[in-house]
Amino acid sequence: MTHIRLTRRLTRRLTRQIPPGFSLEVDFPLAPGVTALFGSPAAGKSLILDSIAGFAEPDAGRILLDDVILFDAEARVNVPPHRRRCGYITGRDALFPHLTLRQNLMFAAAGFARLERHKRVAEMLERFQLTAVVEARPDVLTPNQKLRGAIARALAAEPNLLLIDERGVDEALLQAIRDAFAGPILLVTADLDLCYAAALELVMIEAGRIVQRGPARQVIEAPDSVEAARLLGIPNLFDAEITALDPGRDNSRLQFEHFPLTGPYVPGHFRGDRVRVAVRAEDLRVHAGEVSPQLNFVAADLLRISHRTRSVRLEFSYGIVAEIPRHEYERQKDNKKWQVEFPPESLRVW
Amino acid sequence: MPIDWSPLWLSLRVAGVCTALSLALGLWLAWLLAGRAARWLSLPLVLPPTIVAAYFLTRPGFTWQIAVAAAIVSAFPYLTRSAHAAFRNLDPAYEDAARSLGASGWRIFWRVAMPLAYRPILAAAVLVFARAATEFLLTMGIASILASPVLMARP
Repeated sequence: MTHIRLTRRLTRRLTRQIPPGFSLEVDFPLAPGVTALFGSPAAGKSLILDSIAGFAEPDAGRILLDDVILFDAEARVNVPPHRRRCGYITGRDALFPHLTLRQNLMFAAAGFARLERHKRVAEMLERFQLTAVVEARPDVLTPNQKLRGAIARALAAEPNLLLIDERGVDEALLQAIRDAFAGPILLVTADLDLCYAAALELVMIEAGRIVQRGPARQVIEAPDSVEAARLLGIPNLFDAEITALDPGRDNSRLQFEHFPLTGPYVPGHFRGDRVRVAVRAEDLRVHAGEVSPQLNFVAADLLRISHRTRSVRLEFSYGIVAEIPRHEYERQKDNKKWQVEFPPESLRVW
Repeated sequence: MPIDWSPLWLSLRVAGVCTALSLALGLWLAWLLAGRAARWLSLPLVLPPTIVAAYFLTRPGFTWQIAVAAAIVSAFPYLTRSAHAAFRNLDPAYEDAARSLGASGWRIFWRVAMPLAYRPILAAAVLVFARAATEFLLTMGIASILASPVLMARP
């Protein structure tokens, strides 16, 4: 079992981004496969990785890797970094500049017998398509080759856990890593699409706390709090009051500040409760003002238009943001007045 | 007239041994202190040679070993300081990477830190060697009490 539980209070400034007074408190298991650590900058993601690798000491907690205790504040166990067997890929350029790529990998594989060492190094160089540059020094490699070299080097040491804090890792590279390494991979990323495509588990972090964790796709599709929704980039977050609840029809009436809506039935709540509602921008539909209003149509003024690569983002009054396909926008761009439709099933209510 | 080369050999021997010992001691101390800023390392640098000479005057007899010891006292802080600065100038990313790859401190020193930081250390060692070879104040101070400049040649 691999499990991370740690608390860390920063009394002095460690990095430029994280202010003193910041505290970190996380507790999550790590399964084999990719676990993504997602959060805004300065949420404490890198500090978690540093703590696991042994470069930062938590104040309390316990770090277990394959049932081996790496850190335990109560038992006063703190295994030094070079005995933790954590491969660590940081954003910093860390291939040794005085050694060739092959020598870099040999350095990592030094713990193996000679034959095994050569075999491992050759295998890693091949897996990460570096055979053409094995005798080159890092300063002549491209950034992508350096990154692949650093990953190949980390895996040549046969770690028990791989920590990746580097934005250059894409889906293809992640797949290559998983083919070469069967253990748990903890990946820091700000790329939600990469989480959805390649991560098994997702841990969302905000200000040193876990906001939500679980299977990656489930977390992304069903955020269970406003904080999670905000972190996922859902722009439509509103306060509302429940004015009616109908379990028979499986729906509810919600009164927002400027308009009422029909939403899904909200279990565990009563009439009069204040709730928070999130709606994805791409779930909203827009119509011309002349169309006769139907269920959940809200008349709103268009304030701003922002063109994206494949869609158009429309910002309306009342803080409503809709994102529609470009062809849909082309069809409607001459609308004088606008109505926004909130499909009831798209409302997430807490 | 036959030339007596022995003073030259003596100077070289004193300077060589002094440099080697200072390097060993200085590198060890510098590596030990590399994690922190050790400003007090400059302190022994202000020690004037005459004081060092005065201390060694109280030692009985003049041997080349004492000349080496005297030279080390003035050379060692300088080397330590240079090595300390060289180690601290290294990007900590390299040491961290080496540690996460399972390398011990000894291995990191020889395979990572020294190859990357040897230039300024080598420059300091050359200076220390030159200074120890040509250091006259100390030798003169020590030798004068024995009033026998010949001792320079025949230790």
